[in-house]
Amino acid sequence: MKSNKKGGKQTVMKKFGPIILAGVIAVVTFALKMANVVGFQTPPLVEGPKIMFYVPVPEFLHDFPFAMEMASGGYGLPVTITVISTWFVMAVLILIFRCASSNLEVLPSKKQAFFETLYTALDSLVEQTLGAWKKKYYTYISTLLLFILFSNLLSFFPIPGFTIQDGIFTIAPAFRTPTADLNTTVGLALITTFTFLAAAIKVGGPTGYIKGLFEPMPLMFPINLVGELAKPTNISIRLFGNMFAGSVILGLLYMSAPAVIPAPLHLYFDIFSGIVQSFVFIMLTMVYIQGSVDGHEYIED
Amino acid sequence: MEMTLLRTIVLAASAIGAGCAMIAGIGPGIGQGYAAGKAVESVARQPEAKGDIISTMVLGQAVAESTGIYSLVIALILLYANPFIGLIAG
Repeated sequence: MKSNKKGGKQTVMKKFGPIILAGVIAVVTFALKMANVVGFQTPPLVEGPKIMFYVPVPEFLHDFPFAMEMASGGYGLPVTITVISTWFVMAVLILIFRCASSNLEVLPSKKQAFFETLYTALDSLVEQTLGAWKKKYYTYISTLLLFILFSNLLSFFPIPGFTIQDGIFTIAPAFRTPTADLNTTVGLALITTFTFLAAAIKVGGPTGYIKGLFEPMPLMFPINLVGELAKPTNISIRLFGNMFAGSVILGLLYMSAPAVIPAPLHLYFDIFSGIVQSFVFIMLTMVYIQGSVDGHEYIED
Repeated sequence: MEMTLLRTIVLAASAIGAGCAMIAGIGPGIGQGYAAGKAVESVARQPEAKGDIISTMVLGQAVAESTGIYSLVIALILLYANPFIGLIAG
């Protein structure tokens, strides 16, 4: 009877432990906020990425395209919160996959089996569209997928950043989704554009590519050209629009109903939309690459 | 014209423009609903392929959504990051 009672108290602790802990933390922070010791800062609803610091640029590079004037009079390259979030995503990816590929054994442990499943799933996905060319493009496409996936999921995890403003210890979100900035998505789309243009020029030669633009009739050249320019625009603005609009809608919802209602919408906008949009980006990348190398044999480098 | 009148006209026109931009939400709604109906039909024809059909449908709908997203981005820019207000000051 004695062990039953102790067992009963332990299972209560295990079941309600996290809820009790969350309740205690919420009450303590609310009390600290009321006492003006800790402040919470919500970022404004729509703002561009905030410039965090400048990399100072010496005198002779003042006309460099991206150099802006700093407050202290010199010129510098601005580094925004987008770039810092990108560094964080890179660090997370490097850590996870460095840990995953250490101590590989023939009989896989659970962690290694998980990453092997991930690898073969991506392998069959790339093979479905690209065929024999997957040997060349697999690393790029899988890296692209993982980078965009982790960037999209970044705003789902509340990572606090601590600053001191006006003497109050302020807690604010530390990172902003990198793909909610048009710079990141256009950059990724430009890399994809170079990839499929290079593939087209490699199989046909530069004259072959230009001749392909005149293909059904010479009069179709403007339409084909606009179609080629529409490809990077399409993928970049789709990814940017989904992430940016999702964050704005969630911001509006937090302004009006901050308590329980945003939670399922976080599931849709951050997790579902993030996974689907990253998947769509790489599927379109593979379709564009396949359109460039259509039917040609795999050229070993 | 004085500044407040100019500003009023610009803000009013931006609000009307943002509302008109979201009329483009009709297109993806109809198209994606039609595609979902076709997906349901094909699952009815061949229930074993349900996983494949659903992932193909989700992929196609995310691509078809893109024009609706373009109009949403225009509406959000007009409402919250209006470029015309900066232009009329100068």
